[in-house]
Amino acid sequence: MKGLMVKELIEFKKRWIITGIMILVFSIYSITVALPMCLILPPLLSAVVFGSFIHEEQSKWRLYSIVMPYGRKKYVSSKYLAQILSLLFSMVIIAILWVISSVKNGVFDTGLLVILLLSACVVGLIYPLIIFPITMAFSSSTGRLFFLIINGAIGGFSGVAITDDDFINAVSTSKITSILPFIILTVIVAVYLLSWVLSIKIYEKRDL
Amino acid sequence: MNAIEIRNLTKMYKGFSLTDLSLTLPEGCIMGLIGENGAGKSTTIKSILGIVRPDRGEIKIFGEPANNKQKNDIGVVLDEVGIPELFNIHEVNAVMKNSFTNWSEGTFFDYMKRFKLPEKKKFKTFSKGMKMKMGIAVALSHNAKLLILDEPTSGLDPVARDEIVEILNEFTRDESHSILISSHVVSDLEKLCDYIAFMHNGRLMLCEEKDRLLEQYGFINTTEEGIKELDSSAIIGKKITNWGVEALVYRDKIPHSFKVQPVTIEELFVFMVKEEK
Repeated sequence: MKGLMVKELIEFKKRWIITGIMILVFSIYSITVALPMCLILPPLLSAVVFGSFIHEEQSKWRLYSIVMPYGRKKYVSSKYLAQILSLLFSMVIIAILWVISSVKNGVFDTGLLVILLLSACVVGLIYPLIIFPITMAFSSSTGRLFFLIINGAIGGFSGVAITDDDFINAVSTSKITSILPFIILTVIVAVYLLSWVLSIKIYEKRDL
Repeated sequence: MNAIEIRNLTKMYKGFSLTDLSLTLPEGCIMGLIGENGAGKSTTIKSILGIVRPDRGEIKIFGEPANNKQKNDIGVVLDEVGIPELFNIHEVNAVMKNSFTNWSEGTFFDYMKRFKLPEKKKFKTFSKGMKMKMGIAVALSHNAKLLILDEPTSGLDPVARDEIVEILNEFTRDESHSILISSHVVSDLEKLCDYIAFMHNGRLMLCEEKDRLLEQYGFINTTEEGIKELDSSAIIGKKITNWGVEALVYRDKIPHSFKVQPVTIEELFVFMVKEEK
């Protein structure tokens, strides 16, 4: 699978300039305006990995990789691993942004860092765990459609939740508030692994 | 040992099915799959490579059921070479050397020089011929024992086609090397192959050694009366023209009084397909 991962890294490098500019813009915004804005980074980098699906369909790499000594299982796994690598990368950036912000404000709130990193895991994994099986079963264009639908759903839910005082009060006074992010993370990681297995099963049965 | 052994391969699609295909490619031989578009050549090749899942049948490569490990020994060129569009040859090399256990960088870069492929240009800027040469270079740079090629010469100019046929000829100088190649450019296959398999409407019409085919069949030009003199079992098919009757015949069943002309593989294939219709 090393070759597939090398391919993912080269693809990532090829798109580095645009990705780098976006990371820089959101990083500056996070430090100067609102640190939670850095949570846009995991889905942003996730989209770069997902973008490789589209290019692979165009270039027929999806067929070509099957005739190399990998098999379908390793092809699917390389995508899920690339996604985890992109998440780890975005978490490192978030941690750096937290340090810069803390130095700037003179307040080192480690609780905030933990919440940010947990939230990064959740928003970074939720996209691929839904989109990857769809892409494996159909095509990257169907996956992209779902990507937009999820974006709309998350955006809509966040907008309503943040502006709804009752919701904020209910969450902040709840007894499980302190462990809620961990529960969500556990569920998301479990579903991510399930999605991984499901994608392999779907892709192994499919004609390409 | 056989390089490829296919038994009763069946794959059904809406409006097309590949039915009970059985063929054997002995080690060290070159087999050409000939058929018009939609005959089932690509479905056969994709089934061998695991790109499509057959509904029925058995495929063995080097005597074992087809599996991923064998792919180190198989070089593949599909009608569209699936190298990522933004990659240059160094990046292709980086991916391949981490993919194939027998990858030879030296061989790969020798081919790059021989084919005059630009080092720094992206794959997407290559011409169709250059892309195909890159695909062939990859297929030949990991010490493959078996080459499987799906329409490698389609859409190429005659010079590029000839170069590719020459490279494939070089590959088969090693007697343990085998090739399965599909094409509807029959003249290319005629130059190259030991065995010829005709496919039509998802079925194998014929699979035979090329030399035997050429020895076995011939054309005669005669009149309608002349054709009546022949045993009907000697005639495979006939075509009535303004000048008489042209018939495809078994050479050994024709009396010496008739002048039998040699047949080309292309003529034989076209005649057989038309008769079938």
